[in-house]
Amino acid sequence: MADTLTIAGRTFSSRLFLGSGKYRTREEMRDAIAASGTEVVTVALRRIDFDDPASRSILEDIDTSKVAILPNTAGCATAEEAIRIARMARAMGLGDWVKLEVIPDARYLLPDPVGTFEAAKVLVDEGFAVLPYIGADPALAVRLQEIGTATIMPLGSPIGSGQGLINRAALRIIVEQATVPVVVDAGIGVPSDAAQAMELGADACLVNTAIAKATDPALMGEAIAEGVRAGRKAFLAGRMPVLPYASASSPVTGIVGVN
Amino acid sequence: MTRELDLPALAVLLAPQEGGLPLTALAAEAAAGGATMIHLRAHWLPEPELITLTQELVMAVEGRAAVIINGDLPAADLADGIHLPERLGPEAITAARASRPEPLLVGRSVHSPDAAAASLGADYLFAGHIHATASHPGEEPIGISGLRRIIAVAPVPVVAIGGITPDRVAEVIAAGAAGVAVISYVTTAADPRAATARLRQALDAAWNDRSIGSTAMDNEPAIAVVRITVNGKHVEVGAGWSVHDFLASKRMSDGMAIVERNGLIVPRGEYGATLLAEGDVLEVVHAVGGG
Repeated sequence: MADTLTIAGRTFSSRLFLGSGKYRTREEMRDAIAASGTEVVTVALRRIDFDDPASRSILEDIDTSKVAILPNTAGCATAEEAIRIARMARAMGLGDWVKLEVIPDARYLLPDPVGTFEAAKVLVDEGFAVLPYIGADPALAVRLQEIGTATIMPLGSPIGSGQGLINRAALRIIVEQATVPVVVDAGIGVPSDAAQAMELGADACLVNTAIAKATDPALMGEAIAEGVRAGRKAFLAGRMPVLPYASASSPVTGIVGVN
Repeated sequence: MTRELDLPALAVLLAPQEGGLPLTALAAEAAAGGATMIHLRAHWLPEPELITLTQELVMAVEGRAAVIINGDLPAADLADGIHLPERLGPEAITAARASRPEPLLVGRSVHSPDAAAASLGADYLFAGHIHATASHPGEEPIGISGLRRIIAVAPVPVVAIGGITPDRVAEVIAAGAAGVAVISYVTTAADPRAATARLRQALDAAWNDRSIGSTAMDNEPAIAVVRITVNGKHVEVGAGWSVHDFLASKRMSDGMAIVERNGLIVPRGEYGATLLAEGDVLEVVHAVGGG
């Protein structure tokens, strides 16, 4: 049976979500999306610069028949701002999904749990499929899934930092308590980070900077997709227990010269 | 035969009908009452019959009005012009001219600002229907606001059609129309000449009011602007512009922009119907790369 991921009624075979920011060129982004096999791509909303004739929507470079668009509320520091942007995102006509980000802090870009929770409540009531970006906070994750968010998106480490998973113990607890898919978002730097997230039971990973800022984004997109697949398979296969001592792999009997 | 477009235009549309006056008599009466255009809608007639009827109409109006044939048909060669429906697209305008050695008046019916803006090369446009009308039962009229939006983007004079009576002439002229067109108000009148004359009188009065109004202020025609704020910057747009018109002026399709007007999202299907008013605050956003 195919190992698929279903979020808010939509089913995916890829467990890697891609961000569309920071690419050097639109071509590199398109190639990376294709090479990664992703089926979900995040976008942000910004004012159109009418003075720049080259300004165009990123959606002109993304085949929305092949990938779902997940608009984010990046740049919003308060619940009110995020709600406003989510409503505008829905007016794009590409669905009710929103990656909720309420981030008042510019240095670490750590999400505000209170603002995120308040915005999530309003948006869930308005019929949005809310995918909230949160710190690796198991209690908040439970509160959010209780009010009906579509996923929980805990961070691996700060956005764009490439530090990998800095709080695996908390991620494990979030996964264990989860009743909705867990998408590890932010901080993944290399395929092994993605594999680790999937091994501990995450349902998907969202990656942007690690791919966009690789020397060869398409190749890194493919590599991280393989990391996600490897980690997912390992999770499904069931890992061996960790032991404090050795356990020989070869028979301990019939050793030559030992009676 | 070469004809200029007489303004303000008063067009009377005729179609073969059961009973009543013959079309030639109706045309002669309308021309005597002050019509500047007689449109013949009879594209379904056999070609020889249509050609004969066209010749008879041209003789009946005696040069007092332009005879316009609805449809790009051979009969138009004997008349003063051709009127095209919106569904043929703007390229039909060029095609109608290209196939004829003599210059003809070419008009087109439009029902939206989009179609009006695309009508380059036409001599005039019919915009409608302004009010509910017997010839388009059950269809939503565009109203005076719809007429304004069409006029704001139309490259040529716009003639208002649909439910026009003498009482309703002043408002369409005030909205910027260059004339009116009627069907039943004249064709079903007991005295078609008198009915046309009533329209003519209302039209001339409204036209003069309009001219006086603009010359009293300034010799230049008044260009009305509306001041709004877009993405935090002050912008001037044309009076009567819609959200769609603003985006189109920036070479932007409706599809990619999300518009919030005074804090409320404008649904995508309503960009054309949402008119910009003085002091409006717009946020116009689109999707950019993001994680």
